[in-house]
Amino acid sequence: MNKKILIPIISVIILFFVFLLISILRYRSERPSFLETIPLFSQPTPKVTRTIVPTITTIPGVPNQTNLESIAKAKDSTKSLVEKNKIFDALPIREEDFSTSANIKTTINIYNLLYDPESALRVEIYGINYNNQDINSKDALAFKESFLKAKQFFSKYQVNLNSLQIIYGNRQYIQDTATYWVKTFKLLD
Amino acid sequence: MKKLVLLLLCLFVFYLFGVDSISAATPTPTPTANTSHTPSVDAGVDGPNPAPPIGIPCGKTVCLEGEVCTKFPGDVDEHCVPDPIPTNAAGEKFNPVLPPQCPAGTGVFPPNSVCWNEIINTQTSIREYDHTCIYEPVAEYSDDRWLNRGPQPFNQCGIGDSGPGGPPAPGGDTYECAVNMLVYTDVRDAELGGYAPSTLAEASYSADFLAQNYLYNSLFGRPMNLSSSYDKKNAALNNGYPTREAYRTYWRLLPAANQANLRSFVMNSAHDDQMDNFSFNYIDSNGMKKSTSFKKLFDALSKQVILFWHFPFIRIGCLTQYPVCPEYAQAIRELKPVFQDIRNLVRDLNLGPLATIPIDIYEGAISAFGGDLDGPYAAFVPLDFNSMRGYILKKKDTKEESYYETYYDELVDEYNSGRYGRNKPLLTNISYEHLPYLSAIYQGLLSPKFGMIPALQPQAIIDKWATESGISDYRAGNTPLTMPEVRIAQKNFLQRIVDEAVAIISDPLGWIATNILGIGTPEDYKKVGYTENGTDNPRDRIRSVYDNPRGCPLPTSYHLLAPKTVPISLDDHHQVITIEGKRVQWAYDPICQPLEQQKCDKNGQNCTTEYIDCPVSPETYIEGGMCCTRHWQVSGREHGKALDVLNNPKQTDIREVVAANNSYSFYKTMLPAGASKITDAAIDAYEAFHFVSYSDRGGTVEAIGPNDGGSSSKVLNPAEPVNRIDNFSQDTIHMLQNCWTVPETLQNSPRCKIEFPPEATSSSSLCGGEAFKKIDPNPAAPSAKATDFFVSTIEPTLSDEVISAYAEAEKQTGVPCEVLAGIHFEEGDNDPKKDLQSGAPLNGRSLTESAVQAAEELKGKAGGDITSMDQLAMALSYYNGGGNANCQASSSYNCPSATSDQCGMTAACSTNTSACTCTGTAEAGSCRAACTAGFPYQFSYPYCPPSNIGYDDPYVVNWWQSPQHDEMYLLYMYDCTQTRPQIHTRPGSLTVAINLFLSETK
Repeated sequence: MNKKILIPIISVIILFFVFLLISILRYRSERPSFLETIPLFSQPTPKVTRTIVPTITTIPGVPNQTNLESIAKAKDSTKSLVEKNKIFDALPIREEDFSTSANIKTTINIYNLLYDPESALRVEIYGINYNNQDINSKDALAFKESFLKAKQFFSKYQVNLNSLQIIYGNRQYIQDTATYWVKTFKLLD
Repeated sequence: MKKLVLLLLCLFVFYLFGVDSISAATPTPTPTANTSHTPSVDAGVDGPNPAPPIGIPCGKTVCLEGEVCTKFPGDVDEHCVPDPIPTNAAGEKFNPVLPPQCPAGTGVFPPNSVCWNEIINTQTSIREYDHTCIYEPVAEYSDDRWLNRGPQPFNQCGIGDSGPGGPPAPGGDTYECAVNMLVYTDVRDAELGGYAPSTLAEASYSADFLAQNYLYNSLFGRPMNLSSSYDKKNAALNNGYPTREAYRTYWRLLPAANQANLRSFVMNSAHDDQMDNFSFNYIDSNGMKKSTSFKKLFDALSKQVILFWHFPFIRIGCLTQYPVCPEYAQAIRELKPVFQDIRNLVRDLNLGPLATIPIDIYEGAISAFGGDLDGPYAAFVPLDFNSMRGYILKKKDTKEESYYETYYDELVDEYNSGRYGRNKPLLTNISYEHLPYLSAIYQGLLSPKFGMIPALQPQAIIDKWATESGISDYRAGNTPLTMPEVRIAQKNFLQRIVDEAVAIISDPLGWIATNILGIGTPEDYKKVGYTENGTDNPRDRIRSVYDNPRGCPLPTSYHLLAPKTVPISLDDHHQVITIEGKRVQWAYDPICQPLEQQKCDKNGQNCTTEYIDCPVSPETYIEGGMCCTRHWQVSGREHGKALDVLNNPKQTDIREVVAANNSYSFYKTMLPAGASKITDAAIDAYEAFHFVSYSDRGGTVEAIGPNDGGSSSKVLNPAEPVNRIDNFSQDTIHMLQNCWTVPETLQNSPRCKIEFPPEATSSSSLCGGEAFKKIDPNPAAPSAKATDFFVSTIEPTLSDEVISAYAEAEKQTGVPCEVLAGIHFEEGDNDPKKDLQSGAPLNGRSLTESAVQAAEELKGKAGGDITSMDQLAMALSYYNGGGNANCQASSSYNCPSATSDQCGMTAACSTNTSACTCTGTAEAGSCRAACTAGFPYQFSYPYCPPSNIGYDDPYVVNWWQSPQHDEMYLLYMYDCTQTRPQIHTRPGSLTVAINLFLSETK
């Protein structure tokens, strides 16, 4: 067999066995480390059917709630928690009346909510109309400058924003627009 | 030799086979209960139950001996505190006596009697811990100040009157004018609060009192001492003899086979080091108090020999087998063996050395127990007494940290420096509590094999805890494998290989991904459900759940003696309490003396008039013949932060299965139609002590800031109860046993006679406007249109169900219930099935949880507690998103391309509203791409700019004040989509809140 093919295959196999060995030897905290030696119930474990989650009807004028689950899934929770913990003791951080060149005054509010995913953090900037998604709008400019100001707080604590799960607001359109702006302006870089 | 080995092997196999087949084939005989250790009520003595000594009523609780009833400044109700209250301000030491930790692998029963038992493991889902609290310290400060003299003179920081011709008051609301005090809370005396007695309670009260008042004793416990002299304090009018009608209710419901199996199981667990080896006391047949342990008892019982006239004629260690042998009843009867009778039987059965050798061994083993295993076997309480974990937590904030660092040398704690090896304390502190008894109660209630609830309501347990992946015993993701029943054998190397093989085969990619992601991930964060044995939750995980509760609820409860929880911490709970400059009171108090003074000799004669020197200056002036120096008395009072008490989630489960659940709780099972008359009260556990710390300047307690010297500060509420999760379980069982199941003429528990406050029937009694009043006691009344709408449409929907949810949220968060009603109206029409977040279905949450969540979010957006109407309006606008603020879109125009009612980012949005979404860049051909000069529909809202943020948001203030709120427009009906302005036809959330407040207080 060609060496070029053989070497990667052997490497993968070796890696596989290394993982296997590590897995066996390592203390597996995520799995229970005890045997079930006594039957709990004489009958087999019952299966349950999950109730169907009712469909949410959108009422015009009432914006949808931010989908926190998808935020938590978007980035690795463990890494995000590590970053969050760097700044946690300094929370909440709030900067009122931050003046932007767009002639919009904003409020920057970095805080933690008990009901949010443990690894996520709120970075909310008020005073901006997130319905105006246009990247050239005054709102986008004000957001950009405010976010950069917020970034200074994070820099002080060496927080890597790229790894942090950020909640920009409790409405989905705020989350969508802010995420879009952050991405377009490359604010996390 | 080979033949002999073969023969022995055959005998062994035969023995094993015989035991198993007989166990399987022989029906379990009805056991004869061994009543030798069960106390019997004296015939002819039928006195009433002893009444618990409930002490002196105090507020909503009852004080014990040695306590006084107090209401501290800032408290909302009276409570009991020790008398005298220990304090270190005058040099009096406060050093509670704490029991030491038991040696590794051992424990004691009752817990804390000699030492405290370790925790085995604990819940990792820290958010599942129910919060209660310790009321915040309230600190008071006082000092003297002068003009142009000393620190913080009046011309720098004073506010108020500066005397005749004095300088104008300069304000004082600056960082430098603040006063700081370092305050700490010592929680080392914290107790469990109830559930089970302390050793002092065990020694002080009768067995019946204990059974009537403590959940553990009433369901599972056993009196430590059954001698008649033990109950001297029994007030049952039966000569001090015990009645015992209430003790160990559930244990007595268990069939004898289950009792024997449970005992065997627990002894096996201890023997296999799956739980600590607990020591316990018992009374032997001579009435002597002795001590033994689970393992020692196991060792002796495992050698017990019983003989009988059917195959296999002999059993060894019947009561330590699991399950116990079919002849277990005989084994229990013969725990006090007569060895001569046994040897006679051996001879009659012709068993020879096969029996005599084990009998000799048994005789040797039992001699350590004085030839009697009956006493220790009866006294043995077969439950897991390892402690559970609870936490007490306080977290610093940035402002506090800033002062702490600025006054690094001043804000110190000399008093505790010896204890912690430094005088600069931590500001984020966590106490790790060891909660005794809860494991035992939990196991007794919820063990799938032996538990009370699975025995009474097996299907209910399956319904509640069955998941797609099996049975889970708790919402935090615990699995059956974490139950004590299955913690009996550790996995060996081969089993781990099998596990890994199964994982690889079932999900190879997932297995690889898990392993790759696992590299570098801290072990602590991988844990699911429970920590591993001997480990704990990391500090940063615990710290993340701190919330600063306002106005801790004071208990409606009996204050019971309970064991200490031995809160171990790195430091006391220190905090910096700051009185901002503008909140320091300056009371003008000039120091004056007459300009002329008569001076006489000793006899009062030869008097002369002396004139004092009084140079007029900014600091000194002359008025009315007096020379006055400008002087002020300054003072201030400030609340610190409350402490969070994190109750182990298993306490929530205990509450659920004893009383709270309407379907399967013990209470509802026994009394399905019984009206719930038990108040859901907190447990008033023993005290947390607040102190002001001091530096090394003569041991005086001083406030810190630029104002040094002469100042003094003190804590006004030196002792506060450690409020714990509700007392529902204990009170319910008490009522059930002593009131519901006892004929009225025999009831003598004072609690049976308690007149409960009438149940709230109107919304006003639940939501009384007190919190709203603190924001604005006299808000501008909403317009007539809003009031009519409120009366006709909203008020009828405000059922007790929704109002009580808002009220509970107010209690927990401080956000007025009226505000939550306003939010819920906007989001979900006050429908109890819809949440306060966006009107979505609750999906398993309670409405209260949703309301608390909304309140917390509102506070987050407000930047803390809401104290003004402006702050409230701003937060409400942020809550909704603020997109509809009318002044934002003042540059409106008629865009020719806005031909339909919606101008969105997609072309399809013009005709199909479901296509109106946020897309980033507007699509070519879309209305938004064409209309870029402003809001594309012309409208006029002339009241811009608003007086404050939120006052132009129809979601918040519509229909509140005329004319500015009479006609407000909805501008964005769909996300990122401008819509033709529509006049909003519903009142705003703040408008509704004010309407409700005014309807309550009118």
